[in-house]
Amino acid sequence: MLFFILSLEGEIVSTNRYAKEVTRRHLTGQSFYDVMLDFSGEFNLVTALNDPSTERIIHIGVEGGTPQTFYFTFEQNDDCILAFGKLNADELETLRQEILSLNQEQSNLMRKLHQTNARLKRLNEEKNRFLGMAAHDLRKPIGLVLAYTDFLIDEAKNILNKEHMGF
Amino acid sequence: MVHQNTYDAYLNALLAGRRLECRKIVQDLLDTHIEIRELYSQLFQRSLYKVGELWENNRITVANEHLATAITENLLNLVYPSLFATDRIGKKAVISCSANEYHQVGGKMVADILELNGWDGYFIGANKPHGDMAQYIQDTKPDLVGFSLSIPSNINSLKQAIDVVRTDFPNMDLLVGGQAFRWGGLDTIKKYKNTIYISTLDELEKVIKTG
Repeated sequence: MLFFILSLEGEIVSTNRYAKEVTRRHLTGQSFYDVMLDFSGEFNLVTALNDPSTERIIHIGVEGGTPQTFYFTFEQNDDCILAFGKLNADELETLRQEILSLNQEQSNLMRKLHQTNARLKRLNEEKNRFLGMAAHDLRKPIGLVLAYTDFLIDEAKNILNKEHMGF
Repeated sequence: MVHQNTYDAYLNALLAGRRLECRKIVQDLLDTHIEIRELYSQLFQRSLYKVGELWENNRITVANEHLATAITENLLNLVYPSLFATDRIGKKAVISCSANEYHQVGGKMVADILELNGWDGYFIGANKPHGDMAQYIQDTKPDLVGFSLSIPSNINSLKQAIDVVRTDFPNMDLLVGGQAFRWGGLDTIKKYKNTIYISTLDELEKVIKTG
């Protein structure tokens, strides 16, 4: 859990150690608004204090890392604000399970890809070997056919008609 | 051979989730042309057994264990280009984890060792419904089906999977293995005909080489 003590203006007076570990930065003296990521600019401490039982989703910026989401409640205590940020264990567990499954699926697909690639490489080599042999074995008979064709054209062109010559 | 100091460095990095450090150690071993079977048994299998033991004794968390497993699975990809390039012997095997079994790395390593020995080792994956498994076997027509079991409480699911295979393919050779059997269950398996229990990757190699 994150714990902040804020001034009524939102300046961070103190935090627990976990808050420093999560944000990876020095927090005391900074504005809470600068620590959180509030893209729409809708968050307001005064509004939050008026409804202390409502948990608010707040993304905390992490120096050199991705933001983390906490469920915050805010309470006023004399001249300071106490802010508590909780992680949602169910949400994290779902995330963990899904990442685990995705990693397993990706890993299995990668294995299948390598396996199929090796099979294709082997088939390609076999195809090349077959074509090499076929080319070699066909060269001689095709050469003979060509030679006889040339012979026929030279020696029998007077008795071959136009249709014969077309072949 | 994987030296003790290399193993220690790898295990420490694995337990701390330092993926890139683990990757470098494995890549360095591959660059020195380590035997793949040694890499599997002396580094991957040994370290995962240790991770499992630490988890069972509440020394590391589920998250630690899952991260170590995920890192190992990722590192197997480094081996695949040379693993699948070995000559084929014309035999096929389908390796499966039964329904409810989410631990798949052991089964995958079994399929890989079969590949290394010239088999076509098809791996189905974690938590596969029995109907899908039967269909895959029907399509693939393997010489052998293997089951991996990591969690002892999934033994009934394994029995159901074996029954499904036995019904459709009564003479199929079956292999079973996995860390779950350290806690019992072997008596159940021995009741099935043509079914062999394999305790390690080394033993798997001996069995498939002797036929």
